[in-house]
Amino acid sequence: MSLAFREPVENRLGALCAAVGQTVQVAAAAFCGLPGMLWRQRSRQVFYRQLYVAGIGTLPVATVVALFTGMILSLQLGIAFRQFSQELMVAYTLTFAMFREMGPFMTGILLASCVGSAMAAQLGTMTVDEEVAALEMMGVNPIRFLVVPRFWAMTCMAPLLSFYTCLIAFFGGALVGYTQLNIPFLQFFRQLVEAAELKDLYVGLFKAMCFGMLICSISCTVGFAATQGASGVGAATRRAVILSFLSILIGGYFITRFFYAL
Amino acid sequence: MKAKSQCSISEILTGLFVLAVIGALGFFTIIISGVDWLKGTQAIIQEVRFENVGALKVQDPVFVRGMKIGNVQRLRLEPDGVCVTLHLSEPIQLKKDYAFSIAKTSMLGGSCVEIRQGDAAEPLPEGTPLRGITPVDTLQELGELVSTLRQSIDAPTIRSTLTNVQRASDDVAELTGRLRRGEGLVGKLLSAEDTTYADLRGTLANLHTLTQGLSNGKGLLGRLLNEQDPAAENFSATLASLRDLAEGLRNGRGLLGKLMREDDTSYADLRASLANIRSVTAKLNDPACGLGRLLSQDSKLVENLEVTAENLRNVSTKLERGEGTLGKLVNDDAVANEIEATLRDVRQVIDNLRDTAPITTFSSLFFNGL
Repeated sequence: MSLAFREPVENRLGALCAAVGQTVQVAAAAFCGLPGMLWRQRSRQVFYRQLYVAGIGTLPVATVVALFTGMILSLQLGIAFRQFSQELMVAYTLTFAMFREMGPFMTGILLASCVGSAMAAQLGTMTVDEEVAALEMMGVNPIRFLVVPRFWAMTCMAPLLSFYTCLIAFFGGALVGYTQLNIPFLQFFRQLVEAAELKDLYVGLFKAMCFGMLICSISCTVGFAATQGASGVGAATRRAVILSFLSILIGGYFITRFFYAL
Repeated sequence: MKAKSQCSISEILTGLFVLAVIGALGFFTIIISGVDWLKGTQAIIQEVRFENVGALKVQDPVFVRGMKIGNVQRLRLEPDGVCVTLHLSEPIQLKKDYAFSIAKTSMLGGSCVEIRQGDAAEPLPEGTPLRGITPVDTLQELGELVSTLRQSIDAPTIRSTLTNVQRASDDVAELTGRLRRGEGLVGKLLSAEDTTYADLRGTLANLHTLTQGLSNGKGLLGRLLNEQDPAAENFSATLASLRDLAEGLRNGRGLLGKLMREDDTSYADLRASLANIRSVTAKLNDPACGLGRLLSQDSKLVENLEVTAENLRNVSTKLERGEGTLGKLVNDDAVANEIEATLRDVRQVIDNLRDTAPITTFSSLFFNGL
């Protein structure tokens, strides 16, 4: 598979179609590259490294974001539900919100801003410095060597991170429930478990996995398309983050619509 | 070696994170699915058939005496209703008057299955198909009630009632205002000024004196109130007479009684008599009639009658004194006897003539014919 990211396109619509097509090609190539990655030790090492970057590297930020998101949600919902003496509904609402939308969405935003931007910058720099071209000259497929490990690392880590953010958010919500709404921890988690449904949980995880694929594909594609030195790398990074956010929102709606028809 | 060590730490951290999250995910999955791994073999599956399950859905709780003992595992549509599969964590002993019902968990929504085990002495036989009670849609019933009330209550009536209440309220407000301003007797009594109160108190004192005098037998009323007084006895006798009179009137005795009877014959007779009297008096007042002419002041008939009466009185006077033939005839018996004898002779002569009349008539006919 050859890369053609720098080929000029006549108009904006054509450029959009070309970008979408290139992204789908990258995603498909990366998806199909799983057996080769597992077969080659070098690719496996890159894969492990990317797991660490995507998972452990994002963990502190994810922890803080999830904790305070849960606390904010619990506080706001508690203020609203206290008017009806329904403070326990905080746990119900928090469960629905985190499992169905907020967990995958927060994970996607974090991965796009922390990992996706780094991917776009790294690949963009390699492209600008013609390291990608050098790999091609050496007969190494850059997608197989650079994209596939990142793609599968993001695909694997996004659902785990999503579930992790949900748990941390629940803890933050329970903390606020205990300190502000006088809801005991045990009762909060009991209500939480009663409200939770497996469908919500696994649809949320699936959604996070899709977000990971989207972010990695877009970031890698945009990084490979970087031109004009450092400024081009910066522009590619910015573009990768914006496109990732948009794809998360749009893709999130369609996944929700697919699983939760009215 | 250093790089290899760093790589190992990162791999260990990554592995720990992945394993921890996967473990938590598995634990959460187990909890959410309701599988108790410690007491997994004690889970009981119970099937109940409902005609209608309302808003019941999978994972809704099951309560017995307010305690959650399980949840809804499955809902299956059947030709005659819905089969609800309950996943219970504890066995429950059902009696013959058991009840499975679907209730609302809150006003905001949510449903649950409530199990009433029953109070009957006999337990439910094993294998008996369980039937649930169709849930009551409170909101729908409330809506029907409101609709019925809206149809049954007449809006103009309510408006009229409200208007009356408003008017009554205004009247009460005006009344209390007048009382507050000290207007009227009650207002004056309630006001700080005590003139009216003093007057009322004097009036009451006078009444007290009056009633005391009455009780002591003073005055006519007092005497009447005193049973020992003769006036009271007379008054009682008068009352008895009046009572007898009234009794007689009620029984139709006398003219008044007859007039007061329900039978109005006497009244009709009296009315006819009065009509006749009125007719007679009308004729008397009519100058065209003889008596009317007689009663009228400008009539000459009275004068003629007076003259005639005077003449008659003169004639009678003369007759009484024996003047004239009639006077002598009336007063002198000899004249009467002579007249009687004369009349007797005349009758004798007439009889003689009657006897000789045929002969005389024949002779005259005979001689006249010649």
